[in-house]
Formats: sequence, structure tokens, C-alpha cells
Amino acid sequence: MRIEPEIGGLAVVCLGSLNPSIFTPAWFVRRGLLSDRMEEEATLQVAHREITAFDADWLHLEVRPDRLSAETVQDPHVRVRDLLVKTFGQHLQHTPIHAFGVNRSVHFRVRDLGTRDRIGRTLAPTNAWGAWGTCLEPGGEHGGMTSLTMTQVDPEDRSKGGRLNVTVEPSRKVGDGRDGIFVTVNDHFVVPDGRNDSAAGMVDLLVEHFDASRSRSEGIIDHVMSLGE
Amino acid sequence: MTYADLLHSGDSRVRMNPVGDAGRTAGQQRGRVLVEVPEGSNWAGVVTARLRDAADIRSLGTGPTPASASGGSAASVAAGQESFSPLRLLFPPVEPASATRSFHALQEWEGHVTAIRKREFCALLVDVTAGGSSEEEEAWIPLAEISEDDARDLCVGGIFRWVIGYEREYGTKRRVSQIVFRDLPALTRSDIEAGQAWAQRVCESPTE
Repeated sequence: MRIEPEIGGLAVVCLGSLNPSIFTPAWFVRRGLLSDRMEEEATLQVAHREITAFDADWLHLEVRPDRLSAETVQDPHVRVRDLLVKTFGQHLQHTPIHAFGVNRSVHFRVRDLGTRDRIGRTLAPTNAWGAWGTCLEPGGEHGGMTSLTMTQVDPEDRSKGGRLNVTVEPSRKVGDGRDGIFVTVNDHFVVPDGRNDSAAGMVDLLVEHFDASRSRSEGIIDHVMSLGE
Repeated sequence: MTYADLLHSGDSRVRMNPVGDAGRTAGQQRGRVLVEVPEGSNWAGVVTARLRDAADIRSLGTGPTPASASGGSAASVAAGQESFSPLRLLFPPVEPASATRSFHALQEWEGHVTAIRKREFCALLVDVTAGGSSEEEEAWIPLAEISEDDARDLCVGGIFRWVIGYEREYGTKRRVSQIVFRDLPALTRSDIEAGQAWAQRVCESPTE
């Protein structure tokens, strides 16, 4: 990426039928999925039949009965993939997973408010809004795009139901509300019928698509960054 | 059931415990949501949330629908925007977001260990950042560059990621080189058979 993000992360979100109460740091350590050191340093926020959430070194994990999210804000992101492949490929093979998303998000800063506004106007031109659009001129001081999501339906490289959702917004975390931009790419995969009654289908798709998904997402984010040049 | 539901379920183990002082208005109160641990249970936890008043809890879970079901909690705590996830409100990071350690790669290689000496090991590297798919570089890396745990487990064939980038923590930024050994699944018989089948196809059709 041509601009170094101030905050950047990757999450894999799996949708299915899960038992949140088992996903504790101790459970991962007992199965050799996380190191003893990570358990010692882990911060368990809650472990319950309805939800488990903890932080352990590079990992933030949240599990609810219908979804699991494993996230990191530290490279190398491939650790998330490896953890899920081992967890569901070797220990929880019979967990039904029917869909998952590989989600890449970044917050980055551009030169100034005008640059951010230029990116917003390129993606969502104000002249499309008629007379009211002129009230948003000039330079972002009077408003502009606050959120835009573009969706690609059924990308060719996956089964029906897949989506690629890209959202661009002003960042609320960097740039003091003036020169920060948030971009998130949700690369959504549906596990085909016949393979979604276990985790095997998800594991295979994750192994097959993870690297390409991350690369594609970073290409899209880099393009958004280029609009400010 | 969301946690908002849980809080209003009448379950005595779950309660909101306001800790604001009497001089404050309701809007300035802060609260803690406590989940008590039954004896003998295999789950445990105390949930702390900054809540202004009970209305904040009741409003949880009513946000807009995410564009994709698998996108909702993507990059939830540290990387995402604070928007619709009720979990984001109920379970904020223990450290403030600005204190979260983030590490962004400027350059990333994948390597596999080919030889080990007393103070260093040799590896063949693939440039992941450049989208490389074949090993094009060889490097001798001092054992001091890897953790003691990794050094103890080091073996020929071990696969790792070598990342050089910027680490941000507590408002500071520094350049860091980090080697992380990958924890890959053990090969299964079907993996080996698939590999053999692939090798057979390549032998028969070298352009594949």
C-alpha cells in the first residue's frame, strides 16, 4: 500500500453453529493452538454459553452461537488463517460452518481535509445531487460523503452467494476528524450445499482463497489511496 | 440472545452495577456489567463496559444491518469503526484503542529452513509483498532474531514469516523486524495423496 496505515487489521468471520463457552485461551493452549505464553498474557473478557471474547497477544477472538471472529492488527496476518485452519481442520471438524468472510480494514491519513474531500467527491460526486450538491462545496468544510459501500455480487471465483463489499468512510480513529480515511473490504464466501454441515468446506475455501483475498483487498485499498494523489 | 437480552432476562447472575457518583446526572453515570461465575462452571468472566445509563444497554443490538453477514464484526475492536456491533459497546478493549499495539508490514517474506548452525540458520525466501510464488532468495539468519521457544523447536523444513515494518504503540512508532514461525496443520494421508496426484500431473504436463 502506498500509504502506511496508522491502524490496519484483518479478521476472519465464520458463520455457523458454535459453542462459545469452549473457546477460552486455556482450551486453545491445551490443544497446542496457542502458546503457554499467550495464555499467561491473555485478557479474558467473558466466557459464557452465549459469548466468549478474549485478547491474547496478536489475537482478538469473539465467539457467539452463530459466528466466530478472529482478528489481528499485527502482521503477519496469516496467523489468523493458520489458527482457524488448525482449529476447525483438526479439532472442531464437525462444526457446521456455512459462510465466512475475510475482512481487511485500514485507517490511514492523507495530506489534509481537501485531499480527503477530493477522494470522497471522486467516489461520490456532489454534482449528482443537483442544487443541494452545491451546498456541500467546497473543500469538505460543509459536508460530503460520510459512507459509501460498493458490492460485487457472485464473484466468479466462488460459489453462489459470495460477495465483495468495500466501504469507504471518514475515519473516526485517526486524523482528528479531518484527514483520516477508513476503508474496509469484506470478502464473503458461502460454503456450497453438501459441504456446509461441517467445517471442512470452510477450511478448504479458506486455504484456497486467503492469500488471494488479502492481496485483492489490499489492491482495492491501495487504489482508494491513489485517488488522493 | 444478545447481551442486552441477557441483561434484561432476570438472570440474577447478570446485573448492571452503576459506579457513577451521586453528583452526576444520569447521562454522566458509568456502569459495569458483571457476569458472575457459578461454582463448578467451566466458564468464567467479568464483563466491563462503559455505559452512560441503562438506556445504553437497552439500545444495544438495534443498529443497522451490515452489508454482509460475515462483515459485521470484521476488524471489530481495534481496526474497525465504532458503529453497529453491540459487542463493540459491551466489550471495549481493556486498553484504549490508541494504546493497542499494531504492526504493519512494509516487507514480508515466507521462508523455509534449509540448514541450522550453532548461531544461525539458512532459509530460502519467497517475497510475499511482491506476490512472489517461488523461492528466489537465500538468507542466513542469526538465531538471536527468533524467540527462545522458536529456537528450541527449530528444525529443517520449518516454515516462517519474516516481517519488517512499523510497530505503533502508545503513540510511538518504531521499525521492527519480526520472525514468526507458522503453526500449520500436520499433513494428512489425503494431503499426501493430493500432493502425489499433483506431482503426477506436473510430470505428465510440465506447463501446469
